[in-house]
Amino acid sequence: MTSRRSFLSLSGTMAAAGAAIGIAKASAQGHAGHGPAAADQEPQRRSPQLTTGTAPSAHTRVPRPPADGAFRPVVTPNGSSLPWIMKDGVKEFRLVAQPVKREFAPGMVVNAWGYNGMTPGPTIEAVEGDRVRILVKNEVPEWTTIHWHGMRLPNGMDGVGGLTQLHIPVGKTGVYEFTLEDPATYMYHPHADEMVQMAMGLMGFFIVHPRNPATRAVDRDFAIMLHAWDVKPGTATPNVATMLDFNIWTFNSRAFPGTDILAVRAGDRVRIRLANLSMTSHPVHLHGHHMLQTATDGGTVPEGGRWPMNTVNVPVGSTVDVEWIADRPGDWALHCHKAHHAMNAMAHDLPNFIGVSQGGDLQRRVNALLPQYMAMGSSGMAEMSQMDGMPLPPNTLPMLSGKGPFGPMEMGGMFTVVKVREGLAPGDYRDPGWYRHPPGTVMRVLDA
Amino acid sequence: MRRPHLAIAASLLLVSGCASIGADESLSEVQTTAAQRLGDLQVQLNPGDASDAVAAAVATLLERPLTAEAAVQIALINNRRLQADYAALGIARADLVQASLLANPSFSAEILVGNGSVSPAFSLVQNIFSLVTLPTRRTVASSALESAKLELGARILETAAATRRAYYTALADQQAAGLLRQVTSASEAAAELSERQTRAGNLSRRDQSVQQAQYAQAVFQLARAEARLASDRERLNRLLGLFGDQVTWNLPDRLPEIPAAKPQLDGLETVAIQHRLDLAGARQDLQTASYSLDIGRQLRLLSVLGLGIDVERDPDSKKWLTGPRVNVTLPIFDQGQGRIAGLEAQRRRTDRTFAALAIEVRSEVRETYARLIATHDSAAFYRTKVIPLQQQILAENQRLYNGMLISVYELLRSRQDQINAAREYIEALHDYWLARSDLERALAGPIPITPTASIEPANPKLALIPGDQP
Repeated sequence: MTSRRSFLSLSGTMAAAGAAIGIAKASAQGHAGHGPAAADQEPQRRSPQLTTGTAPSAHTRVPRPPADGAFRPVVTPNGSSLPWIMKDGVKEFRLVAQPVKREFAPGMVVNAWGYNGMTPGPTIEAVEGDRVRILVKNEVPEWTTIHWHGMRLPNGMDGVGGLTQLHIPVGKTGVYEFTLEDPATYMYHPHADEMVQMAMGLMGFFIVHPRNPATRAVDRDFAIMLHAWDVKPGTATPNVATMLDFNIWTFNSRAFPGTDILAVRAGDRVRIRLANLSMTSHPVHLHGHHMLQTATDGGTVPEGGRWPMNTVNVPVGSTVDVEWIADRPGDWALHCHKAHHAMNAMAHDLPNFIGVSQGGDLQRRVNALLPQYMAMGSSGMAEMSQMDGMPLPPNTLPMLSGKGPFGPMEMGGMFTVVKVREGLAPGDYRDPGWYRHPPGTVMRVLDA
Repeated sequence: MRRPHLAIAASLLLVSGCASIGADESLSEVQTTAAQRLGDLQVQLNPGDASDAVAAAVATLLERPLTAEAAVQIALINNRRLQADYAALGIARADLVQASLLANPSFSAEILVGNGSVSPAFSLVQNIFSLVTLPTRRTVASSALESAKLELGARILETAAATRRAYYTALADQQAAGLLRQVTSASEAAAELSERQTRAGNLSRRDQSVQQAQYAQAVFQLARAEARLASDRERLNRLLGLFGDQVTWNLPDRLPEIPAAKPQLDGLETVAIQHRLDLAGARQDLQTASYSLDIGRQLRLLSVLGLGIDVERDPDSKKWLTGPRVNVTLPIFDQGQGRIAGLEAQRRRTDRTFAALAIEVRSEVRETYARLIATHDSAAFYRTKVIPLQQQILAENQRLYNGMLISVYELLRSRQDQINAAREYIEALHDYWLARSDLERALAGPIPITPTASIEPANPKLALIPGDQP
């Protein structure tokens, strides 16, 4: 693929420019090399027939800090940052909008659109006051534009097709150039056939770091894009016309158990930048810690305006930065608190069998007609997470998924784990495995 | 066609042995003709005797699930109407015997009394007209016997064809009823689940009633199918001449699949023209009418020609006088015009009937052939396309159900859809076997199959993808 080759050569150029990208592998949930449930791959749920190409790795690629120390880069779980080259004092970035195959989790690959082979596109990082030039090559099958969501910039660079610029035709490259005025967490996304192009996955972060690296400095800085998709069970292409009935909810276009964990050293000051391009808000909840919302896409919240919280609501079309001191070692869940958003494909109009016996003779009679039938839902849906042997439609993730050290985690979608550990090396984002609880600190079930 | 089981063959031999006691050669001729036209099926006709042997043979044939061939064999030995028709052959044969007999001579005596004397007179007259016409009357009567044989042969083939039709219909309806039992069972399960949901407070009475109504509908459909099957079995019982304990026979589980090869139309009309017994019978009727007309013409002026001897005692001389006597009708008023016109009309009628039947036979062959091909294509299409698609849909729905992505009701409905597709396939297969029976009937014999025959489907939409030929 031409774009991939050019991406690699760009990396080379950039290494010379002193901002090399380091590749650090981090593992997806439940596939940790040293976790107790490492072997649980659920291979029978894979559906190779819908995967026409090899899905590009969705591993987290942790960027190395630039040589000049101008900023501490963010980590985009299951993603990476975009390299640049300096040209006449301008930081030049190249984005290629193109169809991509994105693995949402093992067993599900989506025919999406993205930038530079991935969705969300690589995170653009630069510094307040930088002059940036962004070359946008259009390889999706219709025209596109990019809107630099939240930024203050010249009107003609705002990216609204028809209103402030020509659309970028198929096969052509559009050039944006402007100076970054305000440090904050921004997004980029098309403003041309926006509904379709965002439903297909064209989106990304644009982080403008403060001129002084010491300002709001944190030890670990993560960026997570929240999005919703309507990929019907047994299909691979998002339905672009859906308004409400989304069934796959993602952190950086990955659904649990495909989401990478966030590795954090105990005592670190941690920032998570959350951005929402779905069509509903997401109350993102962190277990075990109190957070402060320190910024919006309009910039830093003055210290006096911050209040402690466990759950931060991320409104539609907004970004939110939260920060906290990770002073509690352990495996702490981080997830959207809308319960349906922490599940994978499910139906919402199922008959309700809670408290209804479906067993006995009836089960036998139905089995005479449908040998594979198993009654479900009488006592709840937890049994779903234990039905490993039952084949699902191809390319479909089980509604409840993930294996933890104590059993099924019964989660999906917008869910990941913040793993707080003593003594992690700075820059080490690898999965440290499951938390070893000090004796006497784990709930126990009474025998009686 | 399957070869009859050894035991069945033995019982049939037994029947034939007993039946031959009173069998006349006409019947065995008919038997040979019918056997030729029923393929390698062993045909034994039974004029109605040997009831124990027949009952034993029937019982043997009914022991195992009935095949189409066994049904035809039973019908031929056990159908009482056919046995009545065998008697018609006896009538025609009796007519021939009658036609070979000479008319009896007539004797008359008279005694004239008066004038003091008595004059007796005697005459003996033989109508030699009947002597002259005897060969021609024999010709007409044996032609009529030929007609009767052909007619009986045609009846046998009709009975065989009707039996095949009734057999395939009963089998198709039995299979459909079995499938409907499964549909009913699925509906029943859904209805019971919904009832349990309603009792637990999880489903409104309205939604539960919908499930109940669907179940009720299925029960009704099943009842209708079972009634239809009962009628089918009775039709077959009548054709096979069964009653009492004999009516508990079993059918196989399923209709035979369609054979791979399709026949070709070329030459089929000729086969039919050569083999159809009703057509041969019509030809024979024409022959008979022609003979009758010939005789009528030859003898139009004469109806009585008597030669005899008169003996009379002369009253005067008291001597016996003897002399020949001729007795002739004078064709003054009746010159047979009406009779000849009637015979001519009769001949014309048989001639046109024969011509009409020939045209009908040809058309029937083309029609049933076209139907055979169309039903073959439809059944193959169902088997290779529709049925696998429904199975695929059900398998996918099972996967969706596994992921709690559809309800058990949708899953059961999907199973019902699949069963209903199977019912439609049975219908297509039934149509095929009826068309096949009809073509065999139209040809008065088995369908010749050219092994290399490859006929394109008449409807291109039914064209199968190469490689999935049935």
